[in-house]
Amino acid sequence: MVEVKLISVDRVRPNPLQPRESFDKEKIKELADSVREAGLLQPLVVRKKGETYQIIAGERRWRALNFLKREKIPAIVWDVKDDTDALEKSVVENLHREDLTSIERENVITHLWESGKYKTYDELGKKIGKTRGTIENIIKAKRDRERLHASQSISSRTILDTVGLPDKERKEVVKRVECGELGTHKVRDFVRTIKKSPEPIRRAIIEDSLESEIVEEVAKIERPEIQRQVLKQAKKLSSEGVRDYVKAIKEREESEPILIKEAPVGILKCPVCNKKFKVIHQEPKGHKLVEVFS
Amino acid sequence: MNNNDLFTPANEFKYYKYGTTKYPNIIRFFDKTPQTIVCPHFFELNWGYGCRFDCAYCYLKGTLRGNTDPRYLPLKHILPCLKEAFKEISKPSIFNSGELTDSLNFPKVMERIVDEFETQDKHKLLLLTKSANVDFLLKKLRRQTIASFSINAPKVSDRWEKKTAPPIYRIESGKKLSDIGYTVRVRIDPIFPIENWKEEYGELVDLLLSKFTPERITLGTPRGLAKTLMFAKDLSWTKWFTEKTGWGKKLSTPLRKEIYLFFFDKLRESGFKNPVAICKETIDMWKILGKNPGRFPYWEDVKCNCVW
Repeated sequence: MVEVKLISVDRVRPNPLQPRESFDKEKIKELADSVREAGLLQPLVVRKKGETYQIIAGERRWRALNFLKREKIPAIVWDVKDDTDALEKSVVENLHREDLTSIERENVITHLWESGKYKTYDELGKKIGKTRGTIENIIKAKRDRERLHASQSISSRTILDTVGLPDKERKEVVKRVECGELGTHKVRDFVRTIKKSPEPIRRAIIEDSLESEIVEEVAKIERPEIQRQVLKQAKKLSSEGVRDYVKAIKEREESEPILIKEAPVGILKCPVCNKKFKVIHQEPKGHKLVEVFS
Repeated sequence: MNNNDLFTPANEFKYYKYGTTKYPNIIRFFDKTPQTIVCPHFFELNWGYGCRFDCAYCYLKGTLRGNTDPRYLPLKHILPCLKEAFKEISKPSIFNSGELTDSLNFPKVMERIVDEFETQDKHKLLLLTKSANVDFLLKKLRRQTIASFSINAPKVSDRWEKKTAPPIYRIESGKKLSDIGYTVRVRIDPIFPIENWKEEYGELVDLLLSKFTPERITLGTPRGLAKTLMFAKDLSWTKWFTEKTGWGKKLSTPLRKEIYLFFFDKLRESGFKNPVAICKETIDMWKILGKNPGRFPYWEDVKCNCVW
């Protein structure tokens, strides 16, 4: 049953399950100005809860009227069964508006899903007008966000774009987006590059924090030997520098072959059995000793 | 850490690899055979890829994925790798130059490589060939070079080794090299059980031993590796395969045993007293033949074509 009433502003309470978590004071002030000029064009949607009314849709409008110190407010009173039902209606009202942040969207949908009222993503999706895939992605993004310690500024899309990488690398990508080194529109390409890259490049991304542009450039090098050589210098180079360096290596190897070799060097003691082993290195210079455990 | 990374005498050699940025695998250790196959591992000297002889059964078809057109590496890439390997590999080793190409396909380059081996006296170069083009070797004796001629019964050669020198020419070349002091080895591989194979191969052995006595003879039966079968165009040589082993398809065990015993008897009757080995055979076959090859990966009792 639906009825329209003029209710007292101080009997209206905000919805604790409201999807929107942040209210911009400036925006509220702007809305208040517009209400002062033109009046309230659309009533609030509320539900009766004891002696008070709980907002289902229109918290910004209610805040604006509070700001204007109005006493009465027009509201449509909906007959709502329970909290989940209220949230559902609130979600439908808010979800399709673009100004809801990723984290707000993730929170509310996960909350609805975890209420246990819906058996499948499909069922939930139909209820709030989203596809099954969207629901699944949003819930996955919420879970991954917690695991990756991603801040609120990271969108669900960015988190989902990193799927397929190990957590260590996902964290690194998210970190780069957070600090602005990697644009959100480049995340998908960067992740694709990482997936295709051999182990040394992937290691350099994590251990040496190699710049994303440099990583893209090094990954383009087809021959692993040159890739390894460039990686050693990559920290000191710009992406253009990498291109020049590769060109220089190719020119040099035409006139004077660059020797690469693998040979056993050095001896390391096994801490477990105390046996001594010779240890190999992969590079011509700078021995890389490997820890030996038998 | 993986146990394979441990440096022990058994896998010492596998850690040596020399190349240039452009050709990274010029010298590397061949250790692809599994534990069930007796094959003492050796160094490959990959100075070229592909072979113009185009034998029907050749594994290169699979290894090079059908592209067997020969191409050779510039000497300026090969020689520094050799110098480095000579300096660093302390244990005397044999470098097989006929693994991915025929060793005598391009004598101009090979002559320089042969001479490079003469700069030291520890390691030896193995020339594995189906060619008879040994003119450059005849100019002078190179003590660090071992020539190994792969020969077969003329009927087999006519059928599946169409572009090679006829076996008699290869034997003649072997004789010439042997006469001036080269170490010459012979491999009769793959031995096909063609019609009247005992007569065909018996005549081959007679012909060989009438010309010269090889330092050792290695025998082999056809090996149908999966990749070879995938890329080979003429598969008529595969009709005798009945068994699967750790190194591709093979003839049946009794047939292989019969072939090897035939050769052992024939060579003994002909007065051949140097080592006779079998190539990439199963450990079971060695046992059936009453021989002990030693233990993986040393196979210390095997004196076959590619090792000391």
